[in-house]
Amino acid sequence: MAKELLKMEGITKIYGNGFMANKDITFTVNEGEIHALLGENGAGKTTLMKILFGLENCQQGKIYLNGQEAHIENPLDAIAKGVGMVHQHFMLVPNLSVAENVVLGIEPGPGQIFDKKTAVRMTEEASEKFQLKVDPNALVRDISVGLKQKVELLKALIRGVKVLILDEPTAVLTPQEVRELFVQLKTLRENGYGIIFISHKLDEVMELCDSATILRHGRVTGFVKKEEMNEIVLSKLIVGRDVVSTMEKKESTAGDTVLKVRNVTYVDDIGKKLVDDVSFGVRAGEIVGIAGVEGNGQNEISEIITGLLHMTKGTVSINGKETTGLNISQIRKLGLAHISEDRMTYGCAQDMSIYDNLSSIYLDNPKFTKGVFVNQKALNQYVKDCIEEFEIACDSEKSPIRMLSGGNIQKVIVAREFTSGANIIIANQPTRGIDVGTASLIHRLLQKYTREKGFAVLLISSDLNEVMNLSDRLLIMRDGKIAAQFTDMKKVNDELMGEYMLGIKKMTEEERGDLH
Amino acid sequence: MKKVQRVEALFELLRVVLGLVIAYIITLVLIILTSDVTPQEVITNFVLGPFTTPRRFGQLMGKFIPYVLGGCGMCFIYGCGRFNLVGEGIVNFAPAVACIVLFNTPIFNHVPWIVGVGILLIICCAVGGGLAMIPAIGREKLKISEMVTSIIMNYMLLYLSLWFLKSLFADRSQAFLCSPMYPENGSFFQLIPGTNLHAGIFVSIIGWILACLMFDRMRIGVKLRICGSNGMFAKYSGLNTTKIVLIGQLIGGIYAGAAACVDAFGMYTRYQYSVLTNIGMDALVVAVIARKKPIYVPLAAFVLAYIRTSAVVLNLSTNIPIEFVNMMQAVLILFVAAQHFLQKSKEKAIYKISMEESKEKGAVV
Repeated sequence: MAKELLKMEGITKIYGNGFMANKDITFTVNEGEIHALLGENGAGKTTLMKILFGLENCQQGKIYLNGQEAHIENPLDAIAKGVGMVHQHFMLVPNLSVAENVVLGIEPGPGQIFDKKTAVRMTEEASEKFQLKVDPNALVRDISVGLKQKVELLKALIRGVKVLILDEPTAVLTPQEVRELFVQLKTLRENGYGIIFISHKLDEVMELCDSATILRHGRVTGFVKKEEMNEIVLSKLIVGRDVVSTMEKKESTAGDTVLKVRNVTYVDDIGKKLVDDVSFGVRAGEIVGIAGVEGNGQNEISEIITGLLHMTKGTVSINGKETTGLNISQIRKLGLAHISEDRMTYGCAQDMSIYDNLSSIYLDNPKFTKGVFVNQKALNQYVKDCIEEFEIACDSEKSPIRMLSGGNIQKVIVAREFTSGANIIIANQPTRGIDVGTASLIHRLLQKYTREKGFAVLLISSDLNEVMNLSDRLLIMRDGKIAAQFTDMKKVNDELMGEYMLGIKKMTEEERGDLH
Repeated sequence: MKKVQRVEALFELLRVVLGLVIAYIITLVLIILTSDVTPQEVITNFVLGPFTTPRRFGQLMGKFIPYVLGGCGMCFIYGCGRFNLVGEGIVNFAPAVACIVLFNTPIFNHVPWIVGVGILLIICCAVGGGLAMIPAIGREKLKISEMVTSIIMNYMLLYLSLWFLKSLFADRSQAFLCSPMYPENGSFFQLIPGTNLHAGIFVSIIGWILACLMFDRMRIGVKLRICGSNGMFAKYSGLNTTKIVLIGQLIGGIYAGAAACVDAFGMYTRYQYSVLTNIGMDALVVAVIARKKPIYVPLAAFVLAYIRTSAVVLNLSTNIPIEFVNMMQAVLILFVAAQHFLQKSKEKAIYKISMEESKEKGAVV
């Protein structure tokens, strides 16, 4: 039997708001094994890994490394004891070179002097040894996401860790990059490393992993060996019910173009052109998806349309009116609603009540105000309706929103934006990091509002399945430009999308067709 | 989850109460240890002192009145996430401006009391609001720390008001630097003769009710709280954050002006401030103890006024300096402001009830 590298036993963690993130979890990783940790968002995977990496402490439970009980105090301690983590959002310093990032904290050199040559050599040696090709002298700012991930891996490996935690490593990668990553991970497995692989993508898990532990509501619901793995078994364990993955889509009956983006260019503070002369439109009654590797201008487009960011050049018009010179409140009044990608920063005020969070955009709306006062009666009714219609699970509308789960917070935001009276919705990563149940509710709502009420939806997402399933028309962004448009969604698959996202292929203007 | 919320509320209260008790005990013990005063004397003077005579209680109320107004004002400033401390300077400066009108113009010659006091209040509030806008605009438009600007301004305002006093309305017949006596229509009369409990308390009560209404029921209050809680969210929601934060500080300044008015024209018979009064800073303390909620301000203001009066009583009747008691205030604030005080016990309590809840749920399933 393979040697047991890591064992977590009886881990229980309850957060300060009373949320039980982990309950009595037992979990082992052997030498030379890739072990998947599966579960919906909020199932407790990340918390469990944070405990292992010393970012959180737990109330109960023990951790054994190489058969010995270990107390992990903080991440430095974890690394010293052989546990490394590659975070979902990279922890790299953009303005330093690859080599400098790799040796950060273990800088070579006599005394306080930094020996850059040795650092580069160390990086080169490690990159050779682990088959992770990187350019040690390149600035992290300039390299691609896939390379950044390699740098993260090197950072952990050069410190001599034996257990590697990868938190959704493929979420930001294109299909081609994913394949490369898998080859590297398999090499590491052969060299005896223990890898914990957190992912939502079942096909990846089945391809790569030797075994899987599945969590639901903070508890272990199953342990599956490679031989027994199949999509039905896994998804049942993850959500506790069978999931219908394909969605029935009614034909779209697109009307007038209500959102027009024309020749929009955005240059950032350091002179980088993030959005380059982009023009497109969204018609009433259709969902237009934008896909692309993160950081190719999608986010900027959404912020420009919603008025959070000022474009360098170009125009945006909403329901026939140009937004140039208008503030966010005026833009909203033209008929725009916005589900932001970062719900905790833009979407809500954590310490305020559900009630206050729902009312934030109505404070100047005559329907909900009486002179200088808030119309309590109307708002109470509205809040009650929202909680009912959008199935928000809460004790009371007066409890702070931070007490809710991620999915329910998103429901509050969606409720507010959908009912704001707008007819154009910018949905930027509307289901990122939330559970399958809420995600499908949001998908259904997007469908319903476009088909029945003639909403125009611009859907920006890095979840390729989501954009493929929902969109009536799909745009792909690459380097701040629209690289492709697909109008027939039946002809699209992730392989093809990947090629355009990576810039292997590019459509000519004729191929792209009318962008509206 | 409901239980958890209750635990959170309970610990919030416990933190303030326990902080108060600990601060109190530390002070008492230190006083008894370091002075030759008997514990009994300390208790009678320090603990019960403010309630022993009407005069002393009046003294307490005299402090309480401006604390309520100042505290409400700071709730607005602090509530929108800014640390504008100009209230301190406003307390000196706003009444000085009002005094110029009072003594150097004929307006007050024949007006009834209510009009006279009204004029004083309006002048003080206008001056207060205007002054508060200087650091506020500096912050919003030029990105200068409002805290630094306001603290510097406090000293400028002190010397400016002294200059006004000396050059415009000083009463040279007196041995110390002060204005002539206020006329009857230019001061708040004593409600109980011989005490400091004066008519300014009505201003405080009205001000407090107005503050509660504004904070919880009016649009501006909700907007303000959203800005203070998460500025990015406010911006995303289409709120004009700059304007709202400015209005918040304007309201804070107006309240500081009102506090200045009731203090200068209620506690004293002449304008005689020659140093900073500390009322502006105490207002911040009140807002911190009240957890930024105007509804709790009277309670917090009473606690602080009580501590301050105790110190004075102790000082007058024994040989213990007032400064000693300021220490107690420091300990109190330390505990109230410390987010992590009692954190461990709170987490344990939450852990316990969560386990119980999950057991109950388990039993049901």
